[in-house]
Amino acid sequence: MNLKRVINNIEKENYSLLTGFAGLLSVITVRNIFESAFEGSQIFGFSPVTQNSFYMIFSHFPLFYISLFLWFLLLLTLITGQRPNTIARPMLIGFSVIIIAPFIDIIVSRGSGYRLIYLKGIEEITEVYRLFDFTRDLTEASWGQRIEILLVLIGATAYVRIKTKNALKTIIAPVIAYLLITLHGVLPNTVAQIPSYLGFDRLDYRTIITGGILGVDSQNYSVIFLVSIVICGIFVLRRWHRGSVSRIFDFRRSIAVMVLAAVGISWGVYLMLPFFPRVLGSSIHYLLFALAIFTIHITRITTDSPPRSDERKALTIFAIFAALAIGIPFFLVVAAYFSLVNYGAPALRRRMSSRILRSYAPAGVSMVLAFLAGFSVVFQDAALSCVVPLDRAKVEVHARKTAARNYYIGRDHANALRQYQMVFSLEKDNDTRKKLGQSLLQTGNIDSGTRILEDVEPLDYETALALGNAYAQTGRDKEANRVYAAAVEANIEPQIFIHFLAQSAARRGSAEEMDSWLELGTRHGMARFRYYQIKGDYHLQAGDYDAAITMYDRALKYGARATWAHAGRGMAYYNQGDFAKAEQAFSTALRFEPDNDVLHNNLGAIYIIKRDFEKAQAFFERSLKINPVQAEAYFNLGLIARFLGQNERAVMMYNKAIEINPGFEPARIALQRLLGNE
Amino acid sequence: MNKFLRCLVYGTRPYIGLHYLFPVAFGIFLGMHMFGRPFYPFESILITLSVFFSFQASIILNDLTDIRSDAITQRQTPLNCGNIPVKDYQTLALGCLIASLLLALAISYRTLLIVILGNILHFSYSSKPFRLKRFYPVSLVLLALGALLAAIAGYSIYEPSRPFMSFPARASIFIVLPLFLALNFRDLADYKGDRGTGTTTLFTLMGLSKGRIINAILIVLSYLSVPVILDYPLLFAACVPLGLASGYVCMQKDFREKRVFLIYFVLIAILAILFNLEPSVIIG
Repeated sequence: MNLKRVINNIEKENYSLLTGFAGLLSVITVRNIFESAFEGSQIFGFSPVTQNSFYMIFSHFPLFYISLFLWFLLLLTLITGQRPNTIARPMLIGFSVIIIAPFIDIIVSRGSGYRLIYLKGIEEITEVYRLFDFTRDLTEASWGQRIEILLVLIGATAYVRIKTKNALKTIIAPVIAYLLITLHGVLPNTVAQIPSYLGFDRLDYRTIITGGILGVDSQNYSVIFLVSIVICGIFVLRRWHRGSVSRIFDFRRSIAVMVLAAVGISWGVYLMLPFFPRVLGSSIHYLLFALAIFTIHITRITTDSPPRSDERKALTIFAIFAALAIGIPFFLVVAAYFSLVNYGAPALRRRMSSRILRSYAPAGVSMVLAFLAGFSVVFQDAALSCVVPLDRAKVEVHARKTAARNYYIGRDHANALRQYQMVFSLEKDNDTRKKLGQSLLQTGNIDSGTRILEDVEPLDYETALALGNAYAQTGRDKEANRVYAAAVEANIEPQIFIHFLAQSAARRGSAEEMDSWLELGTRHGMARFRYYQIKGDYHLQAGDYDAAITMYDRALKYGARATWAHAGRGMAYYNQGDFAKAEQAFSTALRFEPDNDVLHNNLGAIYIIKRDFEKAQAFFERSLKINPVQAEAYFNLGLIARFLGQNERAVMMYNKAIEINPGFEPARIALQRLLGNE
Repeated sequence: MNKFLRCLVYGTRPYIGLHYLFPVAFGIFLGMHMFGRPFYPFESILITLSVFFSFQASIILNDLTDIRSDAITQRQTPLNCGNIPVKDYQTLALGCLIASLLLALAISYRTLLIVILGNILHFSYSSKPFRLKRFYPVSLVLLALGALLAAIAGYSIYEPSRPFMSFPARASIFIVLPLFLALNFRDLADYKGDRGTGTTTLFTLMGLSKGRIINAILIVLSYLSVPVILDYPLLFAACVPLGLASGYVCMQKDFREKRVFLIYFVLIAILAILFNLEPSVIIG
């Protein structure tokens, strides 16, 4: 096969920009759907929470890949000197390799899938050479990712070699391509840390990325990638349609609508500020506001491009994606504005007899829509009801909900609870009820939290998970199982809740019930490693630690990153008295789930045995920070206090553990002994 | 008008359209029996219609992209009958696509994602920039996978959470392998057009006469693979004569696709009765 001839034939293929873009979007969508359908924890596109999934599949990931595609296009344009529209055709075919990654991962992981996340920030860029270190199994990368990146780099190298026959350019191309990929990986979290570089308090990156005005974290990421697309797009356009660049950045005809959009945003910020001061403290928000105004401008100038031209199509595509990323309400308003400027205004003018109306009505409607669009960036789905704040309560509800969401994500549950309580006093909708219940649970108010969540109708995934786990953590297994079973009956993520039911049966030593749930779970596609994990749990509770370790090892064969299998091995070794192996197992588990309260607690327990009380205390406090109702952590803190002779503190800790889990016998016995001695 | 109506009706490819609806029904059947849930008529109708419209959109797209090839073969489509302008036909495709997506969304968001995958597959098959139908046997793999996706779409009514991972492997092989072996016959009628446009098929690669023989053998093998996959030797009693009959039909100079489909529908009917009487044959 003559590669040069193949590339030349592909370059000569004749199809429109729209067809090419549809091809690119198809490749990206297939990759995303399969990656998320296979991915271990299903937090991405196939998420049980539809809103999260929607923005992941239709906004976040498409924009990530489009940005990457454009930067690659620019790179190859600069290196080879070819026009972008020539290079784009073979690039599109080469880009299709991104489809293979999820399939490689599902095979390599034996059906478990991998959880993929972004790099933590610019400081990790020096670590990216490790992607090629095939002796390591990186926590954040997968084999599928590594292979796809390798193929992309090989493709870029081959293309440059064929086109330029220049050895230096052939070497530079893959190096820069790899840097582009890793920069895209570090970009979101790096942008999120900007406030700390400017001297503001370092906020939890989660709060910056996942919190804010926008309701879903993927939207914040989308905003960042859109800005990247704009920056790169300018350079690509200069090589493709030079005239387009000057037209795109000619703001004269859009100045009025841009100003009105900015006024709308300002009005929204003004209304929200008393309840959510962070609206002005997030770097993402400034990008978001700028992007929203720019999108209005782009929508406005689509009329200036020749009809059916590539330029108009490209601008329209950009406006669609940008508006979608900012939010559905903004998208709808911009769509209305687009229809008005492209189709509605001429029709309106034809129908109006009055010269004044003909001249000013379309412009007037445009202004109103521009203002509303800006406002809807801040107030999202509450935009229409809050833009004219006749009902101040509605403004307060939306603003406090935004603030509460930010506190909750940043694990400031006390403030989150306060905000949700205020919202609940004003509006008792299902969503607020859910969030209030979850906040109560997070702050240790188990009874109130479960009472509120029990009233959420109909049962959904988040409620079932929060409620069931709250019952389970406080020893109320019967109630937990009732909730899980209800979720299975309602066909809500059955493989997740069946897993909990099977695990509960295993820990109670009920082999028949466990096997029955496992059989049903397997039919529902429960990952194989979970199956063996649960078998391991059964043997663990039965005291057969060797059999437990065998099962956990089997689980790890199917899912090398199976946290609970590692943790289970740790428990087995702990009970066998092999504390060194136990510590190693728990530490490995913590690598994969650094925010797991149980693992922190378990590690702390080992340090108690080692008599390193300072380290132990740090682990228990970390556990409680993650989960304030971790009864065992309180108990263990009580143990430490007892060892250090701080009896009063010990009593307090034991009481706290019993308060959370009244059936927690070790705490009850320890308290009785302590009080007996006194 | 009669000619136009005839073009429109045959343009919907009724036989192969039915072929796509069988996997949907199969997926629904599988879901019902695997999870012990009742038949959901509303969702079942919606998913059937969704797949139907998705398939119609793909036919229109195929006609639009195969104008040259169909002209050489003189295949009668609503386009080259001359009564429907290209723009209207494109609008019809868009309408079918939107109908397909909305019907899927009415069931659930994740069913929508599966139907989107199906539409992407059709797009990649027929249209540039990929137009994978040009490459043999990739084209056959895609057609077989399309049927599998249709089955998973039906199945997802009962298992929306992990439809890809929980769909039984044996059922996947049961759908994909026989279709992969059998679907070469569809390229027989388009031989001249494919040769003129550089599309590789079994017949353009092997020549018409050798291709017919290989096609006949493969179609027999596809029928024989069914009892092997299902591990149900009694089925040979039906599959052997039906397979030989299909092979015989394919060898005829006066080849008609319709006859192959009719024999295939007989097998579908037999399998439908078998699965209803003994679901364990497919579920295990």
